[in-house]
Amino acid sequence: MAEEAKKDIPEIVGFACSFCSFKASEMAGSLRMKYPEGIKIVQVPCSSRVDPAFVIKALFEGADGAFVAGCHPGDCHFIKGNYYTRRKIAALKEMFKAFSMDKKIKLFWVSASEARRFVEKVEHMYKEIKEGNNEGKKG
Amino acid sequence: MGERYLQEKHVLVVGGGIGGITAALELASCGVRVTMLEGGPSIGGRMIQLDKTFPTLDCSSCTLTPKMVEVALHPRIELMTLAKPMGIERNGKGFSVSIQKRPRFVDMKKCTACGACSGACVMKGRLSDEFNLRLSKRAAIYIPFPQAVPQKYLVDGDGCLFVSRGKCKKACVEACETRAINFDEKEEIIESYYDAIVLAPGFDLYDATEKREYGYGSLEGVMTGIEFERICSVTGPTGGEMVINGKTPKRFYFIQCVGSRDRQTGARFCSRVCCMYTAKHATIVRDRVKDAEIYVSYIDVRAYGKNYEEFYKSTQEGGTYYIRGIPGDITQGEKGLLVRVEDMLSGELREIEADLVVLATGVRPRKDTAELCNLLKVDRDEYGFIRTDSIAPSRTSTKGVFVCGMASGPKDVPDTVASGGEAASRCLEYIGEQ
Amino acid sequence: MKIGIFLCHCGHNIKHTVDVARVKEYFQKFLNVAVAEDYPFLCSEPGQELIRSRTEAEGLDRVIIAACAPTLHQDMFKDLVKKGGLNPFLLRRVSVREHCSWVGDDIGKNTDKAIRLIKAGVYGSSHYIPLEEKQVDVTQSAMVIGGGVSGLSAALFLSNQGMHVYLVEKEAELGGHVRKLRNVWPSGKDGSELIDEMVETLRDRENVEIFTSTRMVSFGGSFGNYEATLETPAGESTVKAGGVIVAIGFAPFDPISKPELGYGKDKRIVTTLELENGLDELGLPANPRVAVLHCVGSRDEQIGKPYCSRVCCINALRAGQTVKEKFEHSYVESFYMDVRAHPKGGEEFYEDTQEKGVLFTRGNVGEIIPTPAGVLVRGEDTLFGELLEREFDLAVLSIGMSPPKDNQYIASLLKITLDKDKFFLEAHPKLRPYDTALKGIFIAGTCSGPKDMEESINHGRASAVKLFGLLNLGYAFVEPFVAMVDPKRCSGCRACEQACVAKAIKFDDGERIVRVEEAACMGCGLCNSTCPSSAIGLKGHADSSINDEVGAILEAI
Repeated sequence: MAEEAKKDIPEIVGFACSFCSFKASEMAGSLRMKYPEGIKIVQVPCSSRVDPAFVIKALFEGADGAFVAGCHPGDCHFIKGNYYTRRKIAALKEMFKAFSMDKKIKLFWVSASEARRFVEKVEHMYKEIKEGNNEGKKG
Repeated sequence: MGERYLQEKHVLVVGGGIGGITAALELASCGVRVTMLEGGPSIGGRMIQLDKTFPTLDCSSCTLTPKMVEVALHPRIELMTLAKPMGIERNGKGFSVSIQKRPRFVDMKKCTACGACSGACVMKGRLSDEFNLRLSKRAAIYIPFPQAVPQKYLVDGDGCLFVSRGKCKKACVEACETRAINFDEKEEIIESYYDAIVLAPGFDLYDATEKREYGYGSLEGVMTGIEFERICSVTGPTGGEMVINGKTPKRFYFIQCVGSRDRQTGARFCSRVCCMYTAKHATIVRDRVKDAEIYVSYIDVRAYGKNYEEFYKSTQEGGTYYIRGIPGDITQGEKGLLVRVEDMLSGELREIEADLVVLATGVRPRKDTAELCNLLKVDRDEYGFIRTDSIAPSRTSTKGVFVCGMASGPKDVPDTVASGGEAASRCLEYIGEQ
Repeated sequence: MKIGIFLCHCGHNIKHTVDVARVKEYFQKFLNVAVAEDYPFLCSEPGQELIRSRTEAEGLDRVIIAACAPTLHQDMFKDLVKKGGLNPFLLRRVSVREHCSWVGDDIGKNTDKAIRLIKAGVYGSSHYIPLEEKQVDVTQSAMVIGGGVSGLSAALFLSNQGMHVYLVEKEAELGGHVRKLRNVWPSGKDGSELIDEMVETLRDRENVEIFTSTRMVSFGGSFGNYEATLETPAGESTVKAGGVIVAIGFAPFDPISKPELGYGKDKRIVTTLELENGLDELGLPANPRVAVLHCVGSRDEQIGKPYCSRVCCINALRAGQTVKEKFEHSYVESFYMDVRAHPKGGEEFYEDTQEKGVLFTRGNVGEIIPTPAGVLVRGEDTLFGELLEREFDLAVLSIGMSPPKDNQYIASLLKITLDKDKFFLEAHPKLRPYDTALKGIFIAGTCSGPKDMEESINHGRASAVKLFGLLNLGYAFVEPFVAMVDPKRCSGCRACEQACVAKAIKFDDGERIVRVEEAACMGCGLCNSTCPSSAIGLKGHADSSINDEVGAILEAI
């Protein structure tokens, strides 16, 4: 974010696969579940489409966190794309550990029906990052 | 190839559950025109009421909803909801059918499914919701469930004060910005010719009130499997929270073969799905209610499908106690329900306390199947299922009429899907002969 | 570039929590935006007309529809912009209802969010390229591998519909296991008669080519145009098929791999099939004592067969009845874990068997010891928790179904997958039980797991209908969201080829670069994110497009 004052409102960019996680986020909307407006979602065909570079781009452009959400392991509509995602994101997190930024990246599985799980996951992440930001300020 | 002649053919599919959906989609993808009749306001059938499916535990609606939408959008499928065949006459090799279409009182072209009407309805929260098996309340103008196809509201004629009594301030009409509500809509009769008919009317569940010793309907905390399914579902009456009468039960008792393999209930047959859906329920409980105590009563565990045995094993290993023996009765005890059962493996008579007893009710032919079969002169077996031939599993006694799914006998989802495809294949062969 | 933005109020649904006037104002001043309109219901007839007419009149080259979730009304909106003269793949949907107005209550914050989301749509879609749904020609023929009841059913249907069918069977005779059955449950018909009837019909059809004693040696191509080399007794033959149905059946469990049961060592220990087909030759006494063992080679983790074989309980019941019918005063005892008489009519058959006097003992048989006086069956009665030991004149083993012998071979040729029990893996256990991950390749009958005859017929025919539906037009449309290779950038490292689940990427030995077989590509984009040099990209979801969306979301407004 450009304005420093808004720093206590975390901005989170999420990449969600069309078949499961994006559907879940759609359903969360239809069920009028609430989650913070700082969370914004980019739709991708499959979580395996997410190049770690997109995640890096999001964080370098100022996002406080980024997540990748896909179908549960074994449920991938592209057979096993999400297994690749799991490996890639794990490696990326490992790399970000060096900068103590690994907490800014999350990977989770949400099936198309799990609107509640989707909201729980993103809210949890939002809270964690918000607390982390506040601590950073104090320090 | 066959494309051109198939385009001139028109098949009627009766029933919009997963069996009918499969048959209709296969027929349409082969080039045939299809009309699908669904008695209720939305397609999806029983499967869409389920929370999860065994043995993968993936959610029922996310596998089925795309198929439902495909039916609605398919250029060769005409979907008629609130519709059923009234009269059928043989006409050459095909059939002349008159279809009764009940009014929806909502213009499907105008309705945007925004829900404003439902919120304004004076009957809001006062009518029983059938989709949730009367476990929750709805308004007189409503959408049966969030993913309904068509995604349109409808007026329940019996519940609506204006339709049933002619007296209401009609707040819904005010609330609707697109002016979609139309109380002048009348019942329609549509006459049409079809080259063949696929029956997929589905099934009913055994009425557990008949089994008095289990106290269903009189004892609090005794429910059926399908009701429990709605309790588990995120779109259900509790939003997926396992709460019954305000409390989360801790001690669960599941009874299999209620209304199956039981001459007293008039059903010698096995319903084929109850063993597995019970194992699924037990697994869901294990997952959601920590420290739950779970018992399952059974005669034989029929985990016959792909990965079913493994699922049953993991249910057992997850800490569900399987008791071989079907309880004699259930009574109200001081600290909960008392289930009396003779454990055939140990030979002892046990009394087990439970907060919730779930009856795995068996499958029955749908009540209106009889009417449908009479119209078509289709034979049924001693239980009322449509009679077929094991060599041609969808062929009925009437030429040009095919059946798929549970209507010809209990089946699980994959078997129903395969039978839907088989019915489509026989149907294509039949219309090709003409 | 001329961009048109259409913002829907969705009645109150969006307007209530998003300041639509402010959004409109913001974008009216935005670079390249020619049209920024809001409307109460874009999906209504006048709303649709607004989009169509403005697209046409302004000659827009991007249309952004900010309304409900992109899956809703997608075909309708695509159709509208097409009517307005724009390639439908240059339409972008932005979900401001499900992802903004419904999930937050604060109008100010929601409005900001809506602006960012729409901006992401504008930036992202700027990289879109016009796409066409690609039409590929398909061969209207099918190869059916396996001439058992399932393969025959598939071939019968496909040939009836006028499709050319190549039926490949490795044995000299068609018919599989059903041919060997003298009494097919529940009809009681002779298996070979059923098979002969099917085979004769097929032989009469000109569009059916039957290859017996034939083995497939190579397989290639992609959906619509597969090619296989067959080794026939008359030499090698190449067939071209639009699709393939694999129906190679099962292998009966070989009880020799359970040596404790003594099968093969003593002729008084037989399988159910041997009993059915040779009861008279067994030389049993007048009132024989017969043991029937269920679950031989099923539900047995120790030998790596944890699954239920689905048909053996019925086979065991039938064995009991067969003995009882011939020898009224025989003593027949069945040893079972659970009686899984689940098929239609199965439960009644079980009851009848009990009524005919077959005894059922819930027990595990540990061993069978042949003695001069008889065969000794030893095990545990699991109902009473006692050891059991009884002498019989005959022990009948109801054997289960094991995966077909050629499973691994066919799987690697066709590049399809096996499940943990080494049967073929279906695309989805519920709704796609006979599909594989590869388009146009199906698995029917027992090769994907144990099934009875009725279920195998269902599978054969159902998969055939599906294949017919894919091929009957003579062409097929493929989604344009497929991968494409930039030949200048591709270094030929083949990382994408290895990653591709659909096997749609092939290495071009001549040019030393990879190529995409568009008909086979599923459009997941895995190759795109795997490529170290961004040489392979997914149409419609290009790197630049996603990167700019991310940028737009985070840009100051």
